[in-house]
Amino acid sequence: MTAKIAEFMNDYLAVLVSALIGTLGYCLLFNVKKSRIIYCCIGGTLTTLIYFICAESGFSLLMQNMIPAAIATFYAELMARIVKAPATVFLIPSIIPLVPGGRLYYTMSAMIDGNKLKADMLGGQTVLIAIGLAVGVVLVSVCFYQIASRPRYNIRFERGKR
Amino acid sequence: METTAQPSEQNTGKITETAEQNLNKATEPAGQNADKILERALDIGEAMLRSGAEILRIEDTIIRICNAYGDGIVDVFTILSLIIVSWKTPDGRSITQTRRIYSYSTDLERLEELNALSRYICANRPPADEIEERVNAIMCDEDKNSKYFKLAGYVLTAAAFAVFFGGNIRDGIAAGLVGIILYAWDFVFASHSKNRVVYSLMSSIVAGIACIFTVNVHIGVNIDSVMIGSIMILIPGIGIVNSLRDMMRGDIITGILRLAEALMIAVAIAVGFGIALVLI
Repeated sequence: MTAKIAEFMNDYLAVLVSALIGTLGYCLLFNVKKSRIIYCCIGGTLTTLIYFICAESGFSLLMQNMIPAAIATFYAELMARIVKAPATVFLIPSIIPLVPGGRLYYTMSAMIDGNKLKADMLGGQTVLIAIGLAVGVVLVSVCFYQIASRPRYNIRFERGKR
Repeated sequence: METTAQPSEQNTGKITETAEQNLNKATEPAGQNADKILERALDIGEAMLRSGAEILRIEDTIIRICNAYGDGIVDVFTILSLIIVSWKTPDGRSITQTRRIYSYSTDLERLEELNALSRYICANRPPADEIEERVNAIMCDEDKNSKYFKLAGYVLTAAAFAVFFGGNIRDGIAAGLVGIILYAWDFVFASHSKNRVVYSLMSSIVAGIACIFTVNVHIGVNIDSVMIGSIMILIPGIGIVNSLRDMMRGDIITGILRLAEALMIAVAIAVGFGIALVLI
């Protein structure tokens, strides 16, 4: 088991470090408050780690992206409640390593080469990943929002009120 | 209305320092000042929308601020480019104000500060002038170092994601250089652009040409990785996430607007890099 973990880390260490630095860069790009950056970086690295664990375990492309997105959202909502900041602050940097920038590029590249079959396949995968991310985010967020649901304003037509 | 202002626990930093002094100030009930208060509430709403807040948060903030100064029914309608508020004040008048928003970007630090400010307003009810001052302070403070942090953000994002998507160290360095070029491009032209889709198209043509150049002078090795690294700077990740969060909370219109824009930007990026590849 430990040997397996060591092998895994050996394969993915460079990728994890680059995800960490990339998340840090994204935080700076969108001016996240300096004291929150550390949590965002932890989130980004965690998401990447889970993504690769899912990929190694042989989940489908959709699930590979849905599970890390769900966990990233859970992490962001949890941190928002612990640190008392909007959840967006943690969610956006945490989820950024999952964004299919690579597939978008290869789709475009295949289209320019005139390889329609490849372009269709990659384009479909890009959309599938985007759907996976969306479902992952929505599934978890909905649970949190149901707990603290939309307050009722503008009560005009109710008994005992005006 | 009696005023029992209590400093909120969640206010931090400079806001807590002045909270003590403000307890002595005469807090004004809504009445003659309702117009002013509503205008300031709209200021905060606009500032939040410009910084990239969700719609529910904005509507919630405006309603809470108005109701902190006086009872009455507040109706808010917000989409990506417009805020409409109508307030039936305690003295029986109806006040309506609208605000058109032309441009917006994402600044998560400002968003957090505005959030803290609105909490402070609801707890302490400062006079309208003070609110104006504080919003201006948040929206106009340009930290001297913020430029360097932003530049570092461009470089680190491009370099790290070039490596992340299968490049080597040299690709990372090349993508970092492209990040510097993109930063300079944004620094000069970003404030002049009205249409984000067209602007993304232009940026990605510039980035694409820069990527090809870095590979031609043998800094980068794989053109693919360098380009993907610089795509990650331009990609509208925040737009998509915010659109999802809006749609989930019932603001379908804004969600669709944000999603449409994000998709158009994604297509514009692909087209822009494609044009660069075809040109050179």
